[in-house]
Amino acid sequence: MINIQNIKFAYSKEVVLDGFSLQFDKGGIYGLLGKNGTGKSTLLYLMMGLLRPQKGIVTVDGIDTTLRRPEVLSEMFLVPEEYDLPAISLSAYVKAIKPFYPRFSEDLLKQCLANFEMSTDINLGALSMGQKKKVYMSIALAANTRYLLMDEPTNGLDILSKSQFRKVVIEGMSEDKTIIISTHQVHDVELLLDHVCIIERNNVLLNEPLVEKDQAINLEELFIKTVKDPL
Amino acid sequence: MFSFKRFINVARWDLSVNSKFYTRSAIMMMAFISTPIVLFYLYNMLTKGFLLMGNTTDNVEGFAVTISLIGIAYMIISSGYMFHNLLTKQGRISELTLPATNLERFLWHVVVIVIGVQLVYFCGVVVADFLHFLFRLAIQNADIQSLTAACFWGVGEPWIESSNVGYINFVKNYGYEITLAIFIWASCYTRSFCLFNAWKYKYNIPWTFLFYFILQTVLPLVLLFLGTMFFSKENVLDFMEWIKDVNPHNIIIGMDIVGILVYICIWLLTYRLYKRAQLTTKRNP
Repeated sequence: MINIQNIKFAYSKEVVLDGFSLQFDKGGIYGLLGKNGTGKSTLLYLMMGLLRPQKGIVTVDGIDTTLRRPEVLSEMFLVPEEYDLPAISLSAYVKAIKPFYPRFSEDLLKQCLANFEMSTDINLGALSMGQKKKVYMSIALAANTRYLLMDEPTNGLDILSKSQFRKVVIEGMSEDKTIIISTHQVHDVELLLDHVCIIERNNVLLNEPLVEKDQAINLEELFIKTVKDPL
Repeated sequence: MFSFKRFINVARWDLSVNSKFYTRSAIMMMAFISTPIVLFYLYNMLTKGFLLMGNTTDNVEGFAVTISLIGIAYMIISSGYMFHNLLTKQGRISELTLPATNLERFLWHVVVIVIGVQLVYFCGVVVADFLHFLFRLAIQNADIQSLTAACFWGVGEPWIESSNVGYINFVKNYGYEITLAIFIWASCYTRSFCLFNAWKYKYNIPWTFLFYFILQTVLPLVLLFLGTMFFSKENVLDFMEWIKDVNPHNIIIGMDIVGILVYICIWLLTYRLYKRAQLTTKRNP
């Protein structure tokens, strides 16, 4: 369980979150939605221990994330919005990170890459930005961590790749995994989500499970309604 | 808890992910060390002609001094790149989310800086020595001394043994205490570049030089000012009298102890800054 308790975080003098609390229970795919600049990415970084709150605490399974304990980090994986991969072969990269993730599955990696129509025999330095994103998401799912955080995962992906992304996430999902997807592109993820959190500075406007699984949910409509007319 | 297995995994990860960076840096360094030798023989070839070069001295003394200076510059610059992984946002994400303790990751950086850099320097000198040997063979002059021995041990011809080049000579000429004091304070200076790198990831080397410039120019003036404010001329003269009676040996031992304490403080502070590193380059209190 990820527990964010009454945190305050500011970049220099710009306060992003103040007195903010939120909780993510185990299992399921969470959508972390919000307007630009509401602190979605900051929240993910705080959950990963990459930022330290000035007040309050963020815990993962009861452990303070700022301690960056290996037993916590080996159960978490972050797919940031922008990143670069080293110019080495995929196999060398996997060999380097595999020992850190006890449940890393090379079969799942192959499956994810196949869903993205990509080969495993690739040099990471020669890939385009979109391809790098696909590879990194595949690695993140293959790491089989209990918590997977994705920041704007569909940014930079074409329409076909977005559809492939949904397939990859569904196939890579298991009961014990918690995936938190932070995005403002609600259309891309609405079919994936079990739970939605809509945040606006310091406020959780909506934090509910999406029960109408078999019906198409218009998440965009829900988002606009919630943001315009907060409870 | 520190895990040696995880530490090895961190080493493997870093060497894989940064293989190009390390290889390029090592090759550049080795080429840089060999440059004075190549330039020396090219210059002589152009000015004297190849046939007359057989009389050229092997110039090991000059090479050893130049290479030692290059080595010092290399230690300083590489210390300023200790946390090169943290330079970019993606680098910080990769390193700081790696499932290992802060200490394990930090110690690996220490190993790279303390052992890795020395190893590259040693290999660079050996390569330069071999190149030098090849040049001597080419000009058919068998009068040759070992550059490696001159750089590291200062043994061989009489000039080497009377010079300060090499660790052994330094000890021989100045004694263990002074050598140790110089070694400790030089290490403090070099490792302060690591400390500044943990504080700032970009432009940390110019910042460190600026710090020392201020320390060398402003600090003596401040001390002089404070001295005139709080101490009379008699106090200063008394102090001069007192220090004359102190055994120099004790002063050097004192310098060694202070140096060791400063050295430990530099590493502790560097670790503290590293441990508190965040994704943003701004640090919270």
